[in-house]
Amino acid sequence: MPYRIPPLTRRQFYLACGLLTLAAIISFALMSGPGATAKANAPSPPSYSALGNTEPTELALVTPGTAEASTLGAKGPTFPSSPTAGLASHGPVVDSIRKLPISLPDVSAWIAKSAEGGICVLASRRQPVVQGEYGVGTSCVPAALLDSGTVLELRPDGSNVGTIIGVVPDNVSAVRVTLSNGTSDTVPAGGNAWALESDAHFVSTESVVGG
Amino acid sequence: MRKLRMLILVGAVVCCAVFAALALASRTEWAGNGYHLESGQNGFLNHKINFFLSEGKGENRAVCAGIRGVEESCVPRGSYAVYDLPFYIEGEPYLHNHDPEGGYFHGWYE
Repeated sequence: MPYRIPPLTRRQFYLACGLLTLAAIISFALMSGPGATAKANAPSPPSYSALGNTEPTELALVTPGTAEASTLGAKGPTFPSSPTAGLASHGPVVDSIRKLPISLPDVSAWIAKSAEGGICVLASRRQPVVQGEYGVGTSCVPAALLDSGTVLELRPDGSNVGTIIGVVPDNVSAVRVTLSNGTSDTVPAGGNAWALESDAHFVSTESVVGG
Repeated sequence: MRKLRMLILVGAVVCCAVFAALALASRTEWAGNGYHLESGQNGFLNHKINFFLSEGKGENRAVCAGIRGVEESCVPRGSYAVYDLPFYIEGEPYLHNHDPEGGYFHGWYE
């Protein structure tokens, strides 16, 4: 025999309506509470205006090992046009590579988004390291380290002098660089970039925010 | 007809898998699985190969990846160091522990 739900009494009906109204009020309060406000006001990720640069990159994109790559690579720095096995997962997003304004005359540098949602710095010498060889160095950090930017040191084999280049977000005005000889240097940042030459290696960097 | 479509689909999937495997196989990890370097120590492959890219990563350590006799690229903890040329050369990839502490490292070449 099927079970029949008995009709609600007036008292039970009012109780059910009251409970539903209470539940609606509590839900609304929870959803529009401080947690929701915090989510809406969550800090936006740091920006890098240099990613919008429109000037020519002066970095030829090539397929490594081809005749074209050898020809162009003998004249200046190049970079793989299609991400290679390693670079595909954590390297620079090729379409996002932009030239960086740096003060050192012997080095070119670039900024790019990283495949992991972070940021990259790339650099190369304007004169070949070995005859006809312009190698490109790359340093990329994932999205979690966007705030701190990244740094790259290029050092020819056997040379005492290295070039240290970094990228930082728009709000960073300078970078304090601690070097392996125990000294530290404060380097001004402009256009998301900073650079210095040193006979010591970088140990750590610290961003100086604002003016 | 249905069987033919199925065969074509399976063939396409197998082809994709083979190409993906070949692409990934071109990256060779030569240092890893407990490859330890003291602070400031170099680690060389110890024989010459044909390659165009040297890559390194420290396990929470700053690292340099380079091509012996050419140049190296050094990065802080958490970053991958990459140094690449547009053409293959006969040379030797190496790693350098750029960190104040000893630690474990991974090295690749392509």
